[in-house]
Amino acid sequence: MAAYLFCLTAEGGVPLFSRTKGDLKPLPFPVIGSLNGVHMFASNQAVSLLSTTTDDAKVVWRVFHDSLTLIMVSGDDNACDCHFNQLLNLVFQSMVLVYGQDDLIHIKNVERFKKEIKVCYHMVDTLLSHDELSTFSDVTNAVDTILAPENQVLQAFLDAFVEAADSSYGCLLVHGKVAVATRKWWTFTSTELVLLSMIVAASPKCSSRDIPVFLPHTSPTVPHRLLTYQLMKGVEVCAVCGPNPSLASLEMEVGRFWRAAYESLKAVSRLHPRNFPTNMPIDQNILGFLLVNVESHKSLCTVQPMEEDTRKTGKTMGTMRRREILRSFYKYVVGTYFPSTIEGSSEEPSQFSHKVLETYITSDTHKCYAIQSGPHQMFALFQPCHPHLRNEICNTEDNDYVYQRQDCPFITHHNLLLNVIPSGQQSFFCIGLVNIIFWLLIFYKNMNM
Amino acid sequence: MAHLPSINPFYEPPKSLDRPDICNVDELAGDAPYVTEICFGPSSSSSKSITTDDENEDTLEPVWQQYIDLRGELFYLESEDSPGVSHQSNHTPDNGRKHSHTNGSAIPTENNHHPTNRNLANLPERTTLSDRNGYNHHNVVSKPKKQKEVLIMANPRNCQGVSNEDNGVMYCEKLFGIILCQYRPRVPNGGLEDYSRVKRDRKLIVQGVVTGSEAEKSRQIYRGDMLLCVADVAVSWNNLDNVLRSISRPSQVKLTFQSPVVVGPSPVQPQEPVPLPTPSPGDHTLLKALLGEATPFSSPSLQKLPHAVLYLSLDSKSESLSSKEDIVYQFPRHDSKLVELRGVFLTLCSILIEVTNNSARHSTVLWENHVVNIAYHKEGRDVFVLALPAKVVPLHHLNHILSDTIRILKVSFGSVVSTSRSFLDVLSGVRWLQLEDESKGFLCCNHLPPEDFQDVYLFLKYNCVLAYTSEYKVRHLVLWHELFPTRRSHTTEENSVPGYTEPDARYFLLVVGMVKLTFQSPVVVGPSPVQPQEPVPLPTPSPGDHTLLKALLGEATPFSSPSYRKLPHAVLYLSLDSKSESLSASIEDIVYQFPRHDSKLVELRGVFLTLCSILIEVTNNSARHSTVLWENHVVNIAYHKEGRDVFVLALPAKVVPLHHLNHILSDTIRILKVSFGSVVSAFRHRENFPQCDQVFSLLFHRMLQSQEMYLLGLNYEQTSRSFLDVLSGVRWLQLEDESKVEYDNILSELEAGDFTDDDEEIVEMRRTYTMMGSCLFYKGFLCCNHLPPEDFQDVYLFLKYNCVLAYTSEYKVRHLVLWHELFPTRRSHTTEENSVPGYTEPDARYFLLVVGMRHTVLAVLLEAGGCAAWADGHPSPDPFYVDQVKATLLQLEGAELTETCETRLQTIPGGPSLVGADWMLAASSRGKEELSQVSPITKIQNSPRSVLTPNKHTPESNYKWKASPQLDKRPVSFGGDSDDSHSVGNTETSTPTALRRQSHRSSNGSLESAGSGSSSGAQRGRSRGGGLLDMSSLSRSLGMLQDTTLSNKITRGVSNILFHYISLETLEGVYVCPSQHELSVVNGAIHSQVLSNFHRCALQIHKQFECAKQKQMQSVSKLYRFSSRQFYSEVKEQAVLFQFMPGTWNDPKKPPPTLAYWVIGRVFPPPYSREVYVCIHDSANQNLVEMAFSLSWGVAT
Repeated sequence: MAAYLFCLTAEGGVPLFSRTKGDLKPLPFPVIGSLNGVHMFASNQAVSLLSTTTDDAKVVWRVFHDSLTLIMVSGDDNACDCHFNQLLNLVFQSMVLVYGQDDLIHIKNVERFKKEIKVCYHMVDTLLSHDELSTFSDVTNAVDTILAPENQVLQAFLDAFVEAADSSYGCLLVHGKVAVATRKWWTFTSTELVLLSMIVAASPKCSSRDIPVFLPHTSPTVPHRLLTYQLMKGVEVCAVCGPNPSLASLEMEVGRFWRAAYESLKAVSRLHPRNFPTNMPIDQNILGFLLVNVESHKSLCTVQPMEEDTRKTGKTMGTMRRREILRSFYKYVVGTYFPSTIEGSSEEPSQFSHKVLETYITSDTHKCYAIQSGPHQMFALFQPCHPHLRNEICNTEDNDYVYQRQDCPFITHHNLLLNVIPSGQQSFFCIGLVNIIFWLLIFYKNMNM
Repeated sequence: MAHLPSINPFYEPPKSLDRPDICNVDELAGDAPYVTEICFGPSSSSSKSITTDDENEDTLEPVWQQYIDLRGELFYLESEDSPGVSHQSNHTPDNGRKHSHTNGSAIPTENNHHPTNRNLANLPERTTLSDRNGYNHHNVVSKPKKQKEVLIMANPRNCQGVSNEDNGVMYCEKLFGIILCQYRPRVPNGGLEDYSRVKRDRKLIVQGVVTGSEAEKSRQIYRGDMLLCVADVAVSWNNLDNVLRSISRPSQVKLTFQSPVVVGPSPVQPQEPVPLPTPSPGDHTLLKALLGEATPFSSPSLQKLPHAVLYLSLDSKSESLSSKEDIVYQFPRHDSKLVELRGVFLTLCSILIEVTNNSARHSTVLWENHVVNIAYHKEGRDVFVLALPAKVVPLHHLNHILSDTIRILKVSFGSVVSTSRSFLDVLSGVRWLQLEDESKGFLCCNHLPPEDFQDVYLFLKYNCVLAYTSEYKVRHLVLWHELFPTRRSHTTEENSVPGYTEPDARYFLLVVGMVKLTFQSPVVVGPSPVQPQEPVPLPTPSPGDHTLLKALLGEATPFSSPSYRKLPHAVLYLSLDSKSESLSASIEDIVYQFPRHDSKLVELRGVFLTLCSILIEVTNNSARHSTVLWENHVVNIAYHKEGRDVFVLALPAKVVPLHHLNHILSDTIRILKVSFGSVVSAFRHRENFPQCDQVFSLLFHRMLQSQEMYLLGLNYEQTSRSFLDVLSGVRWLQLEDESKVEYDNILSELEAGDFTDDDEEIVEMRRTYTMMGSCLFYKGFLCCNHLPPEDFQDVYLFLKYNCVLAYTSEYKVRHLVLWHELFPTRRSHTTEENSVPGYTEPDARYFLLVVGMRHTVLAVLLEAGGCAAWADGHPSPDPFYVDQVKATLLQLEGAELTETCETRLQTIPGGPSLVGADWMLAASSRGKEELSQVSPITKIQNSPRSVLTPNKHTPESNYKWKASPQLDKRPVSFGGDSDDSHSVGNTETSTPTALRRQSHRSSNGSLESAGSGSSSGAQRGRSRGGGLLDMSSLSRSLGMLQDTTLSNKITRGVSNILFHYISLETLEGVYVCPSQHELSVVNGAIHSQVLSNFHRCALQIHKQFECAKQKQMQSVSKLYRFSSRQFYSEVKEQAVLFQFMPGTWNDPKKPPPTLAYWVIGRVFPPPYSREVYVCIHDSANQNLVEMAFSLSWGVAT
């Protein structure tokens, strides 16, 4: 999705930088000036201009700390404005992360600032090209995780390594997704969690890094050091620490700490596109899903739940398209029916006098389904399935097994799904879905999710 | 007091018998009988009076004629009873007023003013009986300027059909096309001789002109004109026939008319803005003063202004002036400086004769910063003094008042000297309030000689009768007074006609007033030349209620409530072509603005303009809408770009969701295009502003009123309104087939335009309009539609945005006529591409004619041009067509439209039966087995016992046993023929009345058709439910025969789980949802929450459906830079599951019961173009497709 992002000083409207994504021509300065001008004019009238849409695009203005104005023009998602705001917020927080809040709020020399702020370009660009990301953390405001049976083993390795780095904040990233992290790491705010995993993924590939970071909420003015070491392809270990130790001195230790975990790391790395254990059964018709825990700020997503046998099912939807659909579906449901941790997303759902539990959408090419229960929200993408499927699965022993586990909160929904969905029409809600949720829950219990 | 012997006791008000000189404003709080008695004779009931009324109307000019505006457009409405007429027995004026409002005659009602006309017309007739040579005399007096001569081509060949028995009126109509006001030939007591005299004395008054006649084309003949001469021969009722018959060959004939004039106080009279102690509606000082009950001097502000009426005499016996013996009469009674000054006045009057040879006329004095004018009238040795502050009454005006007063006194008492004290009190008391002196009453007929008329007029004016009646409604006003007409009693010898002496007679004035207008202004018949119409004296009804009516008539903007002001809302039409540079300084860029007062949104217009122009460069598309935050209000702003102009509509997001706003915008744009041709012309022509104002004020009224409801906690109302507003359809009332066919036939008859009119002239001419089609609404529901979908959509939106449907659904309308030129979307705005090759739309103009009576509204789209005649200028509604449409309405009424619709709306469930959420929750807490028990199922067919024993828990069980007997017993009848033969073996005696009436209509062949229709031979039920149940009967014949009583339940499974449904047929532009009555049955606290959620959710789902459609179109176009493929591009179905748990639960042992329900929306792709939204409990299997089909089956047929 193409997008413009403009950053200007809030007071004078001096353009600081602009980023463009996609096939768009750069805009002349007067146009940018006018875009900012309308917002300034309105705020002089004590009115704040929030957003404007055209047939296909949406413009959102936002001022941070009375110092910076961010204007974003991007494709209209037909969803709640809160998603655009979330993105702008992430952009600003990533600038804080890299540049520090003090220098952002009090810009002394504009020309110098323009030069220096270039350090955050790669973060901003990553955020703008969100639809190319394999993760969903930017929209969900919950950090992406990868579920592996080996995670418990790896936890011990990580704890030991972080201790050696004189810190208590550390995590293990597998292809940008958190496999394990120290207990202290999870005390970061959701934005920090998201941004810390993102900065590692966004930085140029190298075997080890030492990046100064300002934690946007925990310490926005005092920088810390983020040390990362690549253990193997796509697997990196990170630690947030003070002035000591140096990058080089810790690098010596890496091999000593992690050599024994090589096999486990390899196993976790292999799960990458799937993101959850292979021994978990999943229905063929599920093209992908997104599971979010809004309390612990963790999410799990997959758009390649299994090795697809293309000979049998024929050509299915590409993974890019799946991600796109899941993303849109998430944006549509959150802020409209489901509340979330995203700022402003709970306004519209709170207008309903009763709680929304589930929702689905069917179209000719796919079906989407969302369910929330407790802190968990699940968004699933199906392909339009064959009518006979339901009967087959209903008759399996799985079904009975599910029924026996009455303690599981989703069992009632299973019952519901069986009843509500009539034969032939909505039967895509097959047992497979219930299975996933069920297994994931058990898994998550072990995983402290 | 002698009675006039010839006065028909019919006109004699019973109340006045014992009090000869009274001014009796009878504010009876009782209902119409008293009024109707006078109008139509003693025994007519009020309901009858309505129909009589309609018949009467045909003989007279249509009432709406005077409301036609300059553009020939018309919106005329009379409201009938609004719900809840209060009957109170106390007679306080306030109470009377209130009643008059509830009676709803905010506008002159034909019911009431029409008889008044007749009374007025008859009164002079009586008076002139005693005036032997009144006619001649009149002729002498009224010769001057207001006469006009019109040349008209007379064609005697038109008169061939006229027999000798027909009178001159007929001749006149045929010859010139002039309809004369016809009197009932009633032979008076005096015998034939008197009769001819009476006839001679009557004037020939033009009542109207025949459409298309020479007279109409001349455009010079107005209603109310008096025909004086034909070809310079003076005509009267006696010689009219002969004069007209003498015209034997086609020729130009000169007709001389006298135009009616208001003969009141001279036009020079200044109208000053008086800061008067205005009769505030609350305390009714005027009325009280009128009745002499109280002097209006309660207000201290009047005390401060020096004013007085004094009658002083020089013949005082005592020497000292202070003894007050010289004061014969004084008003006001309290002493004032002016009273002390009386010596000055007396002296001036007597002394100035010696100085100037003339007596003093007026003086000016300065007293405590008040300049006071004092006028004198010398009467022998007495002086009449009138003093009023110069600030309030200029000198010139004062002179007029004085002379008028003198005349009144003379007229009332014979001479000034004999003035009776008590009367003067009333008179002068009233006059202080009358200072503003605007002639508020309008003259509609005058059959009095000018001088007499002047007398009467002044009398009424100074007694404030006119002022009062023009402002307030009186139920009954009777005034009886002896008069001493100026002409008769005070004429001097000089100007009397030689050889003629006034008879020695006494004269009495009888004034009878009834609701509203005692007088009516003359109106132009036929297409009016650009003549400024008088501002119609629209009465102000009660302050509080009837805001809608007022807004509807454009009388008042409904922004009285301050809560509206708090909510930011605006309509702006901005132009980029402003000349000035600074946006903030001048408001030149605002072409149109509503509401007028400045708001934050107006200040922000620079933002809107800039956004609209700049975003094209950024995104290649112009802006659609913005969201701003102002003082905690999130305001949505929608734009429509038109060339370099921008149309802006802003409403608070809390009240109107964005999606709804978009719809309002597009609807508004369509309305503007349809009403004015294009958006630009709507706002670029100032004369369109009033109408725009009205549309927008109604719009805001509708929208923001819902906000008030929202604050009151009626959340459900708001959300449902919001959702139903978005649906591009009108609510459909499914009538059963027989009635529908009948009504369709009636409408088709009208549309065929096959009018039988005996007027040959019309036959020869080209037809004025072609009827394109019509549609019939009852209480805002669509009953029949014969218009193409696009035209229908135009008409519907027009009616909706003018609140006509909303008003008629709530209130009864006595008479509604709406006439407006339309520019239908299909014809005026289509592009070249989608036109059919080889066919071009005719070059034509289109007019919308809407006529309404009570709750029924019939809209007809007329085409001028094409095969009909071309219309020029701004044609006004053709009375002929209005009459035809009205006749059709009456015909529909005769076909029992109201009854049928009401039955449909109230007694019998129109659609599938519903179940209440509250009950469902209660049942689920009691246990599952009960749930299945209570479902109202009876498997045994034709067994009334089993039908009558449903479980009492089910709300819909009421339905069941009402509906099921008919379902089972009623034979099927095919075809709509409704002969009155009683069908064989029909219903039982216990069937409801509606059904019994129905049985009259069913044909004899019903049993046969029933037999042949059902395959199994069992008697097949067919309910009045019409279409929907056709489906069920169909499915029954497919094998579910034993389950007849379930026909209303469309959900699968054992129990009914349907909470609510809406089925939208986009192609037809109609939707179906449960009626108010059905909703009231299942109503409950939780249910209304459920409905609120349902509507809110359905709005979201609808939005997604529409977005999906848009995206599909976008993907074709290359214009869009940002377009991304969305997940919902081909979305078919959406659903949301809600769960409700009661907050408080007493029983700790059991888990709290939960209520879970789905809101499901489904769109059916073309060619079906249908959307279905249902709300169902989640307890059972459901097949939405099946349900949708059973829902919409009724709509499709």
